[in-house]
Amino acid sequence: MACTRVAAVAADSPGLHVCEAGSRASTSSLSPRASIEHVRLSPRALTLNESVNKIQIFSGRQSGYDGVRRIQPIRAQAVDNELESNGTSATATSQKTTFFYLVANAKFMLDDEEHFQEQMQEKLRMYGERNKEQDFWIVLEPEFLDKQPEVAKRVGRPAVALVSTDKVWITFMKLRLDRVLKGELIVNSADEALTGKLTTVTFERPAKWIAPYPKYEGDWWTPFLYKKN
Amino acid sequence: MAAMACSMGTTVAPRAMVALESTTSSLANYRVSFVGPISRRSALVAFGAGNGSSRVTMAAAGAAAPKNKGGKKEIDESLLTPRFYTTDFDEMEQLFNVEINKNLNEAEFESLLAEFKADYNQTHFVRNPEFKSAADNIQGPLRQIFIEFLERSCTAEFSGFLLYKELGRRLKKTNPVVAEIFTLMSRDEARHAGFLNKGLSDFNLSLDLGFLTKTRKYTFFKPQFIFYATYLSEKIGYWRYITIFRHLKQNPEYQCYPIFKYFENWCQDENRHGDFFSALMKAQPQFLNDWKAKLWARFFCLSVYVTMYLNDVQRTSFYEGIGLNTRDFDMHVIVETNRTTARIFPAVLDVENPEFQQRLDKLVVLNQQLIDVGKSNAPAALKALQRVPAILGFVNELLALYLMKPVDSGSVDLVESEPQMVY
Repeated sequence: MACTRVAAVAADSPGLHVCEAGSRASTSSLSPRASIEHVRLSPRALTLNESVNKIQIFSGRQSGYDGVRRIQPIRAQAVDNELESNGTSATATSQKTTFFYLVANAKFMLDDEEHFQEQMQEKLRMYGERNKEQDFWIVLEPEFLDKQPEVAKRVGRPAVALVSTDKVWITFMKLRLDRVLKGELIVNSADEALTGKLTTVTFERPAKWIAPYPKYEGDWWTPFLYKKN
Repeated sequence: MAAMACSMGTTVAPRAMVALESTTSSLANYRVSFVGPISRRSALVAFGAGNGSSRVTMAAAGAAAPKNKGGKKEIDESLLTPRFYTTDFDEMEQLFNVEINKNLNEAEFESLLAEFKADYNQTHFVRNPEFKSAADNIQGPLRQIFIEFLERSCTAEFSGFLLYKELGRRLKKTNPVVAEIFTLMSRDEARHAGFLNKGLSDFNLSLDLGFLTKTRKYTFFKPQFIFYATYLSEKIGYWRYITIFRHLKQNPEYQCYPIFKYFENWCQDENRHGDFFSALMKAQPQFLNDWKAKLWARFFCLSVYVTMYLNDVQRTSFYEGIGLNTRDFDMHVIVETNRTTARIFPAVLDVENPEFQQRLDKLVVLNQQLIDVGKSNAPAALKALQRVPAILGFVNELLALYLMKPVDSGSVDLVESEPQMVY
């Protein structure tokens, strides 16, 4: 959907405190949809990307926001059709939603960290028991990364994001997962934050499995994927 | 171990030495120090055991007093280990005083508070009629082992309750958020202890927790060491519980008592408690960011892993009773706990190096030699002499383990090269 937008709109829409103004306008050239039959990512070890020198992912957040706010009037232009179908945005000018995310490679998020799965299921169970509306999702190969090349090049592919409107909970999850990038998105519709290019990822079985129980397998993340209305 | 004490001795406060001394002396008191609980806090037991440890009551925190007691009572006490812990509450107040300490990451603490307030397990600990009949079916030697398991676990949870409750009370003024988290964690621990105590009633027994509170001795740790030890204790507790749960889920024929079915949700509490200590340490970077911190981090990892391994190998019938291979189970727990711990401790041990387990197994043999000497009818003086080679061997192995090339680690939030990392 992003491809069809005029630059000004693209610059304004999904929130962008992370990116420099220049990079914001261009869509990412990364096309991670390709060949993800088998994922070969080294788990549990962060890699240093020598070519990436001065990325200010976490600093300058505030000024990024201000930038977004300042150019807000441009938003008068029509954006996506999804906007209408998605109840979160009734008027084109005011209804922006902020999402908070953690992102890392899929292997880490979905395969290595079995406690993450337990935790997600625990939260979903609790929401069910208390009739709370779900406000957290797992996004496989998030579309929003296309508009955040600075973030995109810092995560292994395929990437997986945990996205929520609950900033406080995301802060906690960052503490728990640690090896993840944290960011925010200001979007016009939930779709922009929650749409993933994939619905499943396959992982190779580990060569050596020392646990006295079988590995969690299967698409455990399915209940956490965003479903459009 | 003695050499380690020397190398660190110049840099630590005298009280900190208690931890080292107690571990050293517990070698001589082998029956106490390595007869810990099967419960999640098992790993901590060795620290307090032995003549070198000091105790303190909650009321008189900070005033360490040496113990003086005979072997018999020590052994009895060890049956109900883990120990109860206390700390320097005044120092804790200083550390978390928002006025003094501007480094406190309030957002992180607020997020933890929200997580504890959510109280995921509010309605989880509800018993059903299965318990009593399952307990009745556990007969023979396994019955005694089960009772011991419940007693130790209950005591462990209860000791957490006491410590956290007191911290919650003491920090109320200086840092209400941290204080409330401690109070909510004591809620969890009380719930766990109560559930285990009800389990004991299935075996027609009960622990008098009020009596324990008054009569048990308290082991003193400086806040820094409370952080390391309690973090490890909570995280290793998570890995022990979840491993048992996942194993029994796959092998229900070993599901001989329903309490294990509760472990999956239960141990999420432990995991969260560990996260809180993670945040506490991040708020006190002086406990994470220098070479001393690295030495302590390795020391605590080693103590916790070794104690658990020796404990569990001695109780192998319990683990076999639920269908686990004790050493495989322990190594898995150690490896996973170590991986988790590497997200906060500045250094961890290279436990995935095969040499690590080989040396642990040598410790098991030496520990068994010590036990055999103790059981013999030789005169006390001769026994002491007979123990010497095993003790020397033991110290030698521990040192070798400690000096194995460590793995540098830590939270990415504290790493300077973070901007270049690819996740």
